Parts: sequence; C-alpha cells; structure tokens
Amino acid sequence: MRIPTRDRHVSLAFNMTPMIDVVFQLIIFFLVSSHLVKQEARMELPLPIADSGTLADEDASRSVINVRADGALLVAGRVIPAEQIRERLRAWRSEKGEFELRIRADRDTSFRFVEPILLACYREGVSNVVYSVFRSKDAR
Amino acid sequence: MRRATIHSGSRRETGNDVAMTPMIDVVFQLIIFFLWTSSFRIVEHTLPSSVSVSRGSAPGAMSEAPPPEEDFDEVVIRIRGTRDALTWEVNETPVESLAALRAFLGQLASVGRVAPVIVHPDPDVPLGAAIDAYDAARLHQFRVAFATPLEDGEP
Repeated sequence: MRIPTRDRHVSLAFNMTPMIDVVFQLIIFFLVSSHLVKQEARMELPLPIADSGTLADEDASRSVINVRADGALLVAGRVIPAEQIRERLRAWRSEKGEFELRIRADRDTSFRFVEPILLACYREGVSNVVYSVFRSKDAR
Repeated sequence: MRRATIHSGSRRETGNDVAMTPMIDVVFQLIIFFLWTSSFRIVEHTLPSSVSVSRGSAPGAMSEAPPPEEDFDEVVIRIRGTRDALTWEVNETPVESLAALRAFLGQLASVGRVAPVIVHPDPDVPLGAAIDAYDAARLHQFRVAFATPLEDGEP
C-alpha cells in the first residue's frame, strides 16, 4: 500500500532556517576564534598565589611584562634586557598616556629579576603597577 | 531545521526517514557553545600595588598609598634565604614560619592598622614567597609596600 503524502504541492517559499543556522554558526565561529587568539597571546606562567587579589580589569589601558623563572623579561613575546625597561615604559607612556603595568612573573623567579622593573617604574614615574596572581583555590 | 522537500514526478519523499541534519546542527551548536564557555585557563587576578613616585619617603619604598600625616613606625618584614630555606623577620624579630607571620599580622591588625607594612625580600627570595607576605598583610587590610634599595645618591 502506498503511504499517502500529506503535502503534494511544490514548495516555492524561501526557507530562512538554513540561512539563520549558517549565520549563527559563522558568528559563533568568529567569536570563538577571536577569543582563542586572545588567550594564545597570554603566556602560560605559574603565577604567585594570593587570595587578596581582585579580578583583573581587562578594559584598562595596560602593558604587560612577563618574567620567566630564569629571570628573562618578555614583552609581547620577545625577550628584552633589563636595561631596556625604562625605554619601554617611556614608549608606553607616550603611546597610551597613563597606563597600568602588569607584572606577570613566575612564582619561582627570584625577586632580583623583578626589582629592576620596580626601580624603572620609580624612576619613570609609573605608579600603577599590579602583579598577576592566582587564587589559592584555582592554582595548580 | 526543517528540510525542504522537493517533489517531482519521479521522486517523492514520504517523510518517514529520520532527518539527521537538524540533529547534527544542534549537536555542533552545543559543542561549540560548551567549548567556548568552558575556560581551560585559570582565571587571573591582580594584586594592586603602586610605586611611590614621591621623593622623600623611605628610600626605595614602593608604597601603596601616600604616607599618613603622622609618623607611625613601619612594620618591616624581612624575608631571607632561598626557596628551600626561607626565614622571616618582623622588625628584626625572627618569625618561625609564614603561618606565624600571618598570625602576628592578625594580632597587629587587631591593635590597629595605621602602621604601613614594608615587605623587604632578599634578592634571592622567590617572588612567590614575597607575594605570600604581601598578601598576608593585604588580607589584614594593611597598607603594604615592597622595599627596593636605590643606588647611592639617588633621590
């Protein structure tokens, strides 16, 4: 027995559903990829642990100096000598005006490698310095 | 997603076959959504501090706020040693552990928080240990600073 079909007429109506699906997929894809690119830019470091830290303000005009455990200073993925910190601070100031300097340092790095950054800030008049930390409940 | 059916003279869809496309669409949407929302990285926090740019405070002191009008004694926490053998001193009095230091700061906070705390780690002390002391003082709502010696003759 042939099963009767409910709808026999040729559908000429423009179907919006697949187009909306595709547009949503594209929106989500671009949002996800831009989010991942932003995360990639952040160097993975075992940061010091502190419970009095506050949630980082990602909108603030900021510059980041990463300090590896071996004492290497990294700015935008490149190692810079400690003598260049003041020059960098001056460049950031002329570019951004008042800015937040974020020090992302390995918790095992010696304080001697962080000291030159603080001294450079003191000499260049950069007062807004923050340290990136993990909360103890989050830290590995 | 509803699949459009096209009927021709030779081929007719009966509608009894299971439409896989919408299910795959929804599954993909869910996968992408959960991948996006779940973060594989630990959330970073920031420990505020600020470098004192005013001349005339304690040499090299990086204070968090301008010094008060009154001249209160500072609480200086010295951290010495290396990663495996750290020692702590509060105003030259040895403190046996970080826990004891926290307890001491707690007692001090119950008396008053007017005295600024200066954390002065030796150059070989790991930053993690210096931040531990800094954090302990902040948790008791002290004004905290890192001390860094300036070169001779520097203002």
